[in-house]
Formats: sequence, C-alpha cells, structure tokens
Amino acid sequence: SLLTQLNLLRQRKVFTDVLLKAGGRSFPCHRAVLASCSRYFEAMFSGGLRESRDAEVDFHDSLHPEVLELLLDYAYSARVIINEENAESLLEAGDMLQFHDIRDAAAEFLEKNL
Amino acid sequence: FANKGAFNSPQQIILLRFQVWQMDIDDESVDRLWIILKAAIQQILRKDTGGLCFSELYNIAYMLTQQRRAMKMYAGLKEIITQHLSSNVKPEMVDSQKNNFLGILYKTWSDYLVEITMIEDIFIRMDQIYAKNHGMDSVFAIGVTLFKEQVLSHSSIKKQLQQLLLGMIDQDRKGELVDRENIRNICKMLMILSLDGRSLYEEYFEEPFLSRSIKLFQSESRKLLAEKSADKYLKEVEDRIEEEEERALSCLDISTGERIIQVVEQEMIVKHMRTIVEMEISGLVHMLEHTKTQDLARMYRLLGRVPGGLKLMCDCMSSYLRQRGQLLFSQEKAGLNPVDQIQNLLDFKAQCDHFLSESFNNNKLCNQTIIGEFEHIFNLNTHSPEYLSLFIHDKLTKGTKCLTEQEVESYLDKALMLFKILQEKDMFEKYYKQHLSYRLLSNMSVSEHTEKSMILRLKRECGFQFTAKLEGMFKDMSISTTTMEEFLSHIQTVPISLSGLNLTVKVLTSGVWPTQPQAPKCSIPSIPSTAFEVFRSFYLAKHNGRQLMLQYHMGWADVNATFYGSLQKVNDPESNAGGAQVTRKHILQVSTFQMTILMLFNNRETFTFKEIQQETDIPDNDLLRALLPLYWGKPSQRVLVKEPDCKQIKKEDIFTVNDEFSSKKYKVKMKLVPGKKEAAVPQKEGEKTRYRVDQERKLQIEAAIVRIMKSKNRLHHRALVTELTQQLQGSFQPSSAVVKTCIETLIEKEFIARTPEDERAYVYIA
Repeated sequence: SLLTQLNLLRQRKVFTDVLLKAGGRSFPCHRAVLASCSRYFEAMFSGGLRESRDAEVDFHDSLHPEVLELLLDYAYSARVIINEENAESLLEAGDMLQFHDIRDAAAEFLEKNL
Repeated sequence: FANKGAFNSPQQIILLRFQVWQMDIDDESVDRLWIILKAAIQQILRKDTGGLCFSELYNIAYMLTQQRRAMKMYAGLKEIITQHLSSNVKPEMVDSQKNNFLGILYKTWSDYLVEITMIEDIFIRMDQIYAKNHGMDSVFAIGVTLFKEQVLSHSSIKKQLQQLLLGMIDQDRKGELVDRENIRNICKMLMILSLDGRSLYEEYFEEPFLSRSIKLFQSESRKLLAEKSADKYLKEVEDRIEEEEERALSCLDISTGERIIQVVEQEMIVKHMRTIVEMEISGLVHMLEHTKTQDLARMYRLLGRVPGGLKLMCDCMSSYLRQRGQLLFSQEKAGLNPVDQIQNLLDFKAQCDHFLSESFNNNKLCNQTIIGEFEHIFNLNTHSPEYLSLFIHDKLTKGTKCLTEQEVESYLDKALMLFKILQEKDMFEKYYKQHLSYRLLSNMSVSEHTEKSMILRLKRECGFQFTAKLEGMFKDMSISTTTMEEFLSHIQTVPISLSGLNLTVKVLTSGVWPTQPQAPKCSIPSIPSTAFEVFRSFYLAKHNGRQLMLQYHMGWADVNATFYGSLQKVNDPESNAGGAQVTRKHILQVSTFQMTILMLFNNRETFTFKEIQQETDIPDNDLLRALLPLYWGKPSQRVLVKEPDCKQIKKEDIFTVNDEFSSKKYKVKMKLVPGKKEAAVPQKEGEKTRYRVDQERKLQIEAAIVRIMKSKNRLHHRALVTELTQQLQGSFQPSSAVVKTCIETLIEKEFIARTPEDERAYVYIA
C-alpha cells in the first residue's frame, strides 16, 4: 500500500525532508506524512514559524525518543502496540502532539487495566 | 474514558500532564509565560515571525491550558487582536480610500487571515478544551468577528466597499473591462466573514446588489418592450439570464446565481409575460402561424421557468388552435371533400406535433392542450364520424391511389389518433360498416391483411364487442367463398343448367351488415332469377330454417354487350370501301338494377321510361339513379340514348341502345351515380344512419340505466348520470335530454320509480 511504500522510503531516507530529534536520537521523516496524521505537525510545518524552514526539529528532553519512535512508526504504519509500560507515555504524548487515535486507544487501554 | 470527548473533563486533565510540566506552577511563572506568548502574537500580527519557534509557543499555550489559565489567555488574545485592528489596520484602510481600495482591503484581509491562522495553530489546545467546553468562539472566529467589528463596520469603509463593488458590476454589465478577480476576492472575504451563515455577505453586498438589479431590469424591460418584437425581447432576456448566471458563477458567491436569476425572471418575464405572449404581429399566435420553431422554443424555455408561465402560453395556444381548427374543419365547410378535410386536420395536427417535439420538449401540459383542442374541434362537427370513416375508406379502397403498405398503415395510425378522441364512436361504427361492406362486396378492398390490421387497431382501442360485427363481415365473406365452391360442385352433379350464367352469391348474416329488411323491389330477368332459385334451394337444403332475401341494391353483374355500330363515312381511306357496320363487344360492369334495365333491350329496341318502370318494378329513386349513368355522360360512352337528349326524365321519354358506344377498354364499369364518394355513401344515407344510431343509443341508455339501478337500487339523478356517462363513454356521450326521456320511458314501463321524498331520486322496481 501507499503507506508501506512511504515507510520504505523513510527507512531508506529517500525524500525525507525533516529530521526529528529527541534525547540524542534522530529520525528522518517526511513532513507530509506527519502533517497528515497530526494537527500539531501540520501547524508546525505550515504556519511560517521557525520549524517550517528548519531542517531539524529537536524535542530535547521533552519527549522520550522511544515514545517518539512509537508515534512515528504509527504514522507510517497505522499500527501501534500499547502495553502497560508505554500506555501512559503514549497517552500524554498523543494528547500533546495531537495524535488523537493514539491518545484515545491508550486511554481506553488504561481504563480497562486500572 | 468512555469516549474521546470524556478527555476534556477536568478530572482527566490532571492525568494528562506533560512530563516537563508535571508540577503546578505559580502565578508569577504564569505571567512570565504569558508575556512570551503575548510578544509572539504581536510579532505575528506585525508579520515579524522570523525567530518564533512553533513548538515552544505551542507548549506554553498547551501548558497554560492544562493549568487552567485558558480564560486569561483567551481574554488577553482578544485584547491584543482588537488593539492591533483598531490602531493599525483600520486607520490604514481609512487612509487608502482613494487608491485601489478594494485591492488593498483584500490584501490586508488575506494577510490577516494568515496571521490569525498562525495564532490559531498555537492555541489549538485552548480551542479544543476551553472554547469548545464553554461554548465560546474559536480563535479563528474571534479573529473574523473582530475584523468585522473593528474594520469593516466602520461606516466609511462599508460605504466605500459597497459603492466600489456595485460600480464594478455596473461596468461589467456594460461590457467594460473590469478586474473580476477583485470582485470575486471581496465576495469570498464577505462569505468568510459571515462565518457559517451568509449574513454579512448579504448585508454588505447581496441585498444592495439585488435591489439595484431590480431597478435596472425594470427600466430595461420597459425600454425593450417599447422597441422590440416579442421574439427579440425573449432573445434579450435569454442573453441576460445567461450573462447574469455566468457573472454569478465566475465572480460572486455561487448562491447569488439563483437569486439574481429570480430577479431577472420576476422583472423581465413574470411581470410582462402576458404582454409578450399576446404581442400583436410577433406574439405566440404569430410564431405558431409562421412556424417559428426556434422562437417558440425560446418562449417555452423562458416562460417555463416561471410559475404560471406555461399555463398562460397554453391558454393562448388553446384559443388559437380552436379558432384555426374550426376554420379548417367546420360544419359549414360541407362542400369540401371529406377526405381532404380530415387530411387538413391531420396536417394541422402534424404541425402542432412538430411544435410539441421541436419547441415544447414534449411537455405534458402542452400536449394535453393540443389534444384537448383537437378533441373539441373534431367533436364539434357532427360529420366527424362519417368523415373519419370515409377517410379510412379512401385509404383502404384499391385502385385509385398507389400507396405502399407502409403509407396505408401510417394513414391508419393517424386515423386512429382521431378515432381515440372521437366521442361518437358508435356512430363511426355504423359508417365504418357501410364503407367496409362496400369494399368487401364490390371487391374494392386493398387487402384483407390491411383491413384486418385496421380492425385490430379498433379492437385494441374499444374492445372486442365494438368490432364483433365488423369481424362477422369478414367471416361471412370467407364462408360465402366456401359455400360457392360447394354450390359449383353441386350443380355438376345434378341435371340443372344455369343457362351459362356465372352466379356468385354472398350470404350476409342479417344484423351484421348494413342490409335493409325491406330491400327495394325489382323483377329481375328470368335467367338470373332462375339461377338464384337453384342456389336458394341448394342453400336452404343445407341450412334448414334459414331465410334468404335478395338485396338487389347491393348486387353487381358483368353483362356481355354487343354494339352493332352505324355506317362509317365513305371517304375514310382506312375503312372498308363502301362502308360497313363495325360490331363492338364489351363487358359492362353494372348494378343488378342496371342489368335488369339493359336486358329489356334484348327483347325490343325502344322503351319509354314508363315502360321500363313497369317492366322492372324498381322504385323510382333507385331506377333514376341506375338509369342516369347509362344515358348521361360522355356522348360516346352512353350505353343508351334518350329522346329528347337531356338529363331530366319524363314518363314518355324514349330510350334506345346507343350502337355508336365506344370505349378503349373492353371491360367498362358503370357507376351507380356519378361521383365516387357519393356512390359510397349517398347523402341521404347519412341522415338515415343518424336516425338509426339515435334509436340504438336510446336502447343502450335504457339498458344501462336498468343495469345501474339494479345494482345500486337507489340513486340520485346526478349520480345516475355520472355512472351512466362512465359506462357509455367507450361508445358515445349521452345527452342529458335523451337521458331524461329514457328515464321517463323506464318510469312508464315501471322499471324504476321516483322516490316519494325526492323527485330527483329513483328506486329500482324488481
């Protein structure tokens, strides 16, 4: 499918146009893919502020790299495995970065396992 | 966590704290963060966004929302934007009123829209949590509303905007070059500023635009109507509609299209449609009369757009059709050939159908109007049943015309169209029977196949009862053929001579054919009469109890005739020297009466009229009709010569055989009475038919009343008449006077009675 192809392109770093960084790790991505699944990224890349021009966006320590990786994998595959370890982080990150599906799924998971 | 929405309630917000902002923060920190945001917003509004970092600003706004500081941000944001609009944007716009105002306004607006969108992006979380839950405007809506309040509603800006916009449209209407994109942009801006509705667009543009257009079209249509003919006027209106539609589509909001078209329709069509339709020299009647197919189509298209337009058109068409139709097909035109009259009517119908399909798009109302008027015209003429039957007769009679089978079928289809709208179908059946019997008995029918295809049409239309007798006629014909074959083989076996006469007998069932119970008398000569008696005894032996009656007036005979000629002139070089008598032989095709007359001359050379009368015993009327073609016509083709030589006959006038009779043909057909059509149905026959039909109708009405009363037992007069009309509509429309006499008859005969309570109600008497 289209998404699978895009994910392959990401892995091969072909046409990637932004580098996301968190906790020292780097993730090359396509702006279009991120903007299409999160209002946060859409606003970030389209608004005319710094990130729309910069080649890199660094979350520093505000976002755990593994959580970011999960979010990006989700963006490129529409799949994410939620477990007791990551549920709370995904809930928080999903809410802030406007990944609403992840936020809702994580919330549901927590509700069932509380 | 029942659903997504549940996230927005305060208990859960606690759960969602972001890692970095885990702890509650104090007011001082809040103020510090707000100052950062405030400065950023102001920078954005100044278009100075270079150094701003989205994620930082978003995080601050997100955090402050989580910390329940949204109200503070919301109020502050509003204040900053208001401040910016009132002190920067508005003065700029007021200053630029002279120069390219609309262009600058749109530029200002679109820049502002970008800025508001940027701000909106930063405050996503505030919109999602605070504004939505408190039923307050989103950041975008605040931005739009403030622009409206602070900038557009300024009286001079509003006035300027309206004047310039309408002015540009005026220019565009005049065909001058106008920056249409400018108009389109401003309209788009007004629609966005109306948020979900269209109120601002209406107030600032659409309402003044429409009311200005009303005035414009009013004066324009007045001017056009004074100068132009109906077709030209309609063309202008159509162009106008097209232009306005195009303009709305390309530079106004699309929803205005419908509204401006309504204005054109109202001002240019609805208010003047009667004037247009009835315009002398160029209106609807003119278009119909001069086959202005395109103009009619345009009128149909335009009037069809407005309520009542089509009705008005059809009403006008109705009265034209009625007038024209009556002129074409009226009772008074009796002198005209009936076949031509029906053809004229059909031609007229074809013309109307042309308009129906080419101009009126086969519209139902137009079709009903046309059919309705033809029904009226056709049934107004009491000759219609007879004429229609004659028309069909003309097409089904062989010999005169060379029509292909398809042509005949197409004529029959057209005739059926008239038959469908004919009210007196029973009357038609009587005439049809007469004409069919003529065709069958004198072997003049074009083909049995075609005849039957017509009968099939009638049967489909009216049911088998209607055509039962007509089909009986065909049955008699085929039975007669068989009977004759049997008869011929019979006389071979018995020692009877028919004296060389070829006898053909058609046995017609009484009641099925238009025979007369009292056939005119005639004493036919002994040879044919003997021959017939042979047939009679043969037939009656086969069919015990039947009666055979000769219908002399319907019979035909082929007679061998020898004309001995007179002395030829001597100086004719081609002829035999000395002159000689030239004998000519012909076969004369004559009626039974004529045969009877002619055979007298085998016995003697001369007869007076009185003698012929006595010898033949034929009633005067029939005798005169039979004699006339024998002595009056082209001198060379007269079989008899009368002394004195004039058309009128006196008792003592003397008839002799015309030995100088000559004809190029060997077989010569004698017509019963000159004029083919009259021969088929003499005028008097028509009157008799009507009388007979009237009598039959009375019986039918009485029978129907008895049937109805028997099932309903008790009925009011009006209900009875309704029921009766329904039952009889397949064959004719009973007139109320006749119905009344029939009711009286039935009361007298004690089938029904008036009720004691109500004179106008009846009960059935068992």
